[in-house]
Amino acid sequence: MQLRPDPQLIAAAADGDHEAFEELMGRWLPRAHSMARRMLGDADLAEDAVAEVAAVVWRSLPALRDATAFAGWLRAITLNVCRRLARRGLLAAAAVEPRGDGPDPGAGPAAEAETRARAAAIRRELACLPELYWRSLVLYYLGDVSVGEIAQELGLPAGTVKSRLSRGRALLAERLARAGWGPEELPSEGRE
Amino acid sequence: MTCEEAHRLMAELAEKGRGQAPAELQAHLESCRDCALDAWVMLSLAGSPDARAGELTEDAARRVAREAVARVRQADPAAEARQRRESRRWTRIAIAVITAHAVACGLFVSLVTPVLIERATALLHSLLGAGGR
Repeated sequence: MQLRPDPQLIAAAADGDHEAFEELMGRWLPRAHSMARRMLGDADLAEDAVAEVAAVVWRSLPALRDATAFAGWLRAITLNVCRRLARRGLLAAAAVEPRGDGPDPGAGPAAEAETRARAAAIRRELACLPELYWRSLVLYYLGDVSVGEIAQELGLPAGTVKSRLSRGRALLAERLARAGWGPEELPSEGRE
Repeated sequence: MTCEEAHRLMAELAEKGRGQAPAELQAHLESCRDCALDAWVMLSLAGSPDARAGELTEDAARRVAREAVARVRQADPAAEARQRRESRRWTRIAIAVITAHAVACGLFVSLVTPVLIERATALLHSLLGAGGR
């Protein structure tokens, strides 16, 4: 069977073609799921997120005028859904204690527990950042996109995205440090 | 190595969820505080066991899509009809514009062209007549 190009699938799905929609989602949902998994830290929760994303896409696709903007549009929907899920308190179960003099990172299960706890803390602190910084930072960390692409997606100059990333980083580092987490040693020099 | 190149490499490592950072990247991270924090965050998120487990296959993604459509239809049976109507509205607008353009061109050809030919012929005759005298 010949693969249909994305713009063709998008147009057909917008017109109510279920098969085109399934084919399109078969291509794109795994990427959205990967992003949601890293953001939410739970494969099942990520699947709930992409189920919601698929429903939003199906309802809103006729409103998408530019098929070339589909990837960014889908990323934005995924981020919004994940943020809502995270905010709804589903991550509360993953709340962790500060590291303190925690387990030896060299040990197997202990190291795994530490990695899990660290990731949960980062997710929690990221989700608490103001929307302004959160969106740029999460796209940069989890969206596999460059500063230029983020600027294009958000409709902002690249300089504004850079300054939001910089401010967002500082806020995140501050929050993590307050919670007892942070990279062991950060170099003292700034960005090149 | 620039920060952008470092970010691309970090994203690749994060996508794989494992692997050793190349020496060049390590050297960059030692000199750039922002990138060191980025690497720590990105690799922590990607490397946690919860994030690595359970990739969504294409078949599973298709199933999720199928169920989403069923859910939307169940929740709002009129949604699909609305969606189609919206899509068809734009198709109708496009057809109307093309038709109007074609009609305008047809009218122009059928009304203006005979007048132009008549005037051109008259001009030619008058020129020939003048030349003959």
